[in-house]
Amino acid sequence: MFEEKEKKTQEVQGVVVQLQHFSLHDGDGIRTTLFLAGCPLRCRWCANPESWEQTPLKAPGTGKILRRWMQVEEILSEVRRQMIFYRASGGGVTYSGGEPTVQLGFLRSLVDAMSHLGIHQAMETCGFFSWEAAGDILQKMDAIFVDVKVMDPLAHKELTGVDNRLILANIKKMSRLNIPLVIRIPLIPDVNDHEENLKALADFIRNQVPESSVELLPYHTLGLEKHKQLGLQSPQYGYRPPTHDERKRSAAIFEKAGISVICY
Amino acid sequence: MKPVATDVLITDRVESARQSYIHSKPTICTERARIWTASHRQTEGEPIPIRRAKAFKAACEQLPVSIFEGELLVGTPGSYRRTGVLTPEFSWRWVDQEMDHFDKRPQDPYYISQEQREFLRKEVFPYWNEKSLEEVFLKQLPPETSKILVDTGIIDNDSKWRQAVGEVTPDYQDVLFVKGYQCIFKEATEAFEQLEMNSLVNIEKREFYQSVMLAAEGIMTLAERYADEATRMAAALDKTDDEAAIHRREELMEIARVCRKVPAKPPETFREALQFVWFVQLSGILSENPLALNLGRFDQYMAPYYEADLAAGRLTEAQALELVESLWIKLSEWVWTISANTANYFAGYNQFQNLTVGGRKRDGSDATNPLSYLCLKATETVKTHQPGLSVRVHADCPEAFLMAVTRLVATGTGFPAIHNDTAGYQMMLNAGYAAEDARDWSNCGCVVPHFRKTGEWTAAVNVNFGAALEYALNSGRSRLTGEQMGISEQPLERFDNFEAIKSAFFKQLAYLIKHSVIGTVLAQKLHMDLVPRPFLSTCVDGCLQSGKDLSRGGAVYNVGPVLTGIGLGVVANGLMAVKKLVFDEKTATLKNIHEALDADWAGFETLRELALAVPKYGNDQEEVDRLAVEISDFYYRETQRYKDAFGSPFNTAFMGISNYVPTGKIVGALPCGRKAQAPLTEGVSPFVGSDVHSPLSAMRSAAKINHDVHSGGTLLNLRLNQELVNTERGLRNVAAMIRAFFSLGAFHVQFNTVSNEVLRAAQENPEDYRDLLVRVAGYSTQFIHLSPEMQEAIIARNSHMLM
Repeated sequence: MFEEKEKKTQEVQGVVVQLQHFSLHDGDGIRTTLFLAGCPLRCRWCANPESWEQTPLKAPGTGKILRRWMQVEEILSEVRRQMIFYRASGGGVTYSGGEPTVQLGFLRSLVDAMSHLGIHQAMETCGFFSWEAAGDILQKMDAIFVDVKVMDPLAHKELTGVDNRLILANIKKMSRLNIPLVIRIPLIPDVNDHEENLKALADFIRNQVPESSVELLPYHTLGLEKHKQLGLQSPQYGYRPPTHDERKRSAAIFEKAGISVICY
Repeated sequence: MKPVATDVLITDRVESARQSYIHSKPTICTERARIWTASHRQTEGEPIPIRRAKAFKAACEQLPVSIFEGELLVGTPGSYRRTGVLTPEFSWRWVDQEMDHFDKRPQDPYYISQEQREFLRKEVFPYWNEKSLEEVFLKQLPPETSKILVDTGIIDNDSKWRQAVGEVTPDYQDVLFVKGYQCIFKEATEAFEQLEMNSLVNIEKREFYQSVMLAAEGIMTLAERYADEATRMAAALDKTDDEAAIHRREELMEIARVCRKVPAKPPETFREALQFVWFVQLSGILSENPLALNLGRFDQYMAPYYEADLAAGRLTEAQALELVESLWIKLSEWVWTISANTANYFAGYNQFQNLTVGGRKRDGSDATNPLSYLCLKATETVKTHQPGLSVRVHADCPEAFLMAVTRLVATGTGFPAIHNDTAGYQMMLNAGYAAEDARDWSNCGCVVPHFRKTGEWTAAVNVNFGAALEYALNSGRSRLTGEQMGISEQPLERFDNFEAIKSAFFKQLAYLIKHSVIGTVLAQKLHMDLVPRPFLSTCVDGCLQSGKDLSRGGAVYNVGPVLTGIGLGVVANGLMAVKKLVFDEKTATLKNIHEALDADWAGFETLRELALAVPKYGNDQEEVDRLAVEISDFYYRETQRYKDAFGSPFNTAFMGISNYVPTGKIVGALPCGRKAQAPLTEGVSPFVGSDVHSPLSAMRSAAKINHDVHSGGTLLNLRLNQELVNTERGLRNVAAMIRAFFSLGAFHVQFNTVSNEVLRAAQENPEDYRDLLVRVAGYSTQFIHLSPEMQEAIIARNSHMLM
């Protein structure tokens, strides 16, 4: 489907935020989630600001390692110890971040190595990447989770720092890969949970990626503390988590459109 | 009656019995002790086995017979709903010393009246003075052993001389249900009559068979008396026209019919089989107040009756469930009477009546049947602490069964204990069983794979590994008292390499093992002389054929006593800390360590931080985990060198119970950063709060221990976030964890789901809960690392989910 115009890059190391085993909410079964450093977006509600940049980092004050270099081999040796749990549960590895495609060569090396081991692989992506550069990696996934925050391009740029047209175009391409696709929507009251936005989202999904399902991720405030730890100014937007009723109301919009709403 | 298939419902009858179990105070009934003593006054000069059997029979003839309101299964060991009995032939001194405070002790209090206490001191205790097993044992125990064995927490076997042994699994499959007690009586009589008193062997056999005849008469008499009582109560309702009373009269007449039939004759229905089981259990209780009188593979031996009744339309699933629940309540009502010391080791009124479901059959095929599920359901419904419900999970076990197991885990009761069928089989082979028998194992007590045709002390001695490490590092002395308790050793500062320190630990451990053996073999010898077990000998295959009491090795198999190691994890951590800090990284000297431990770390906070940062067992880190394996392998080799009274090699175990708490109380600070008197570690579990990676890493570490050689069983306790088990998807992941853990070769895991109580405790003592994972949103993190607000949010969510 994609012609190899140039040799795809491979890197033996990359910068990692965290390797989290016993991860139960990023795909099927028991998984290891690999949080890769670097993100092209700056979402105002981001709960993982430590994953924005791509350089190694220790927390100011405590000295706790927040981002560090890791070798592919180092990651594989940890993953091998977890394989017995993946096999028993139907789990595997999930690439997350940050945005995993930012360190493309590193990601490609990891994906090739994991494929070789026969490990189930999933990716959580913001969708903001060059398909030409990263499409081959997406193809090798067993499941893809992609975020859509708001449908209006201008609002998207204001809230995340980037336009959403590339993201939506990539999602359409993802849908043609025949890989289970989950559209993840962060639910932030008074920001993106109004009916107009959610209906537009539902329309997009029904028309463009009908085989996918939706997972709603209610906003939480844990990220605020992390900002403090990083010495960053805490965002002053005053977001709040949605109430139970708000969550139900939002879910109903998708369900009404015939889209399955799932929860990991 | 309502159907059970869709939801867990409880009948009024069971609920009312359950409420009375929850609200009744455990009360001592002195009747058994009174009758036992009076009988012994009348049998002076007769052979001991016959005297014990006559006392048992007298108890069966004279104990008060009570049928409580609404009961379907009948029989109680004393006058109260929750009765504990006293066994002065084993020990009365602790009762004398402790009973004035029975109701005030912190662990497992009992109620006993002033009148009863006076009666015991006047009529019962004086008779047993100098005669009880405890007194004889203590008199004969060598002083060197006594110094570390008696109420010290260093090595402990008081449940083998202050108490009866218990640890029997009655053989319903091949003996009791097949024969019934009339037949057992007849066989014993025939054997007795064929023996002339012309040899020592024959004299002893005659005594044995006579004791069995008396025991068989005893249990049949007891059942007859219940039949009479039921008949009497039914007659009292003869003239009534109240509908409920008429219904109850019918039930009482059925009770009378059942009790006239079993256990004299083999049972033919599910109901009869259940009542048979309870009469056997009750008689076992009366005979010796046993620990771990197990119900074995209940789903296997009860299945034929269940299936036949269902097929014949005599029984519905709902009725069967009600009957099983009634048995669960009966098992929970009687109270195991134990000393304050023993209660520290076996906390929670726990009688350890283990009941095992699932697993493989003798031919290796899957044994799971509808009763396996029914038992899980009964425990979920009545939530009684007995029976100790265990499941065997094998590689080809039905997914539906494993999911039913995880659903019971989700209720947060700690049940069931989940066992690896294959590891149990390997442990049995290692203990010397034939392959078919090895496949037929069931749990005894806590986590001991056991076979019913066996005489074995499955929890013979608790051995304190922490004490052994302390003596190695402290010139053989207790750090808390300064007293020489181990073998004398050079001062810590003189060691110049890690291997020498490790060897010193092994030397101290070997010393504790040796004295554990001395205390056990002496107790075995005295049990043969003083406390033969005529009734329980009827329950174990081999005794009747060999003409030998269970205590004398009459069973088909005699398996060596189990020495339980306590503190494996904490000792591996301690040795690892010394190695890292002193010899690898040289950040501390042995002198520093010695001083820090003497000061219980006070003034050595920085060193303690360094010690806490050294890798700990339970995180899948190779070096420290390998130390744990090396220690457990040494323990096995050293213990197996010794043979018990029957020539069987001693066995090892890493079991839990609550022994890691009292054993910790006598051990000073340890080099891993543990403070003085803090608990040690249970079974093969990591030190509390130190397995900070994930439950999966704890599982991988625990699975590195060579479980298959520790025939006395191994135990892993893990905390699970309540939220994890709130969804079907979460339960599937728990099932996967179990399968993966077992495929790594481990034997047992028990999950404690994390309730809000636990979360509150974690807020109070964060250091003990460093391993506690909770899901925040999208990912899991350590609870204690969350801000107070976030912790409150998690607690609020947990409560929400539980509703």
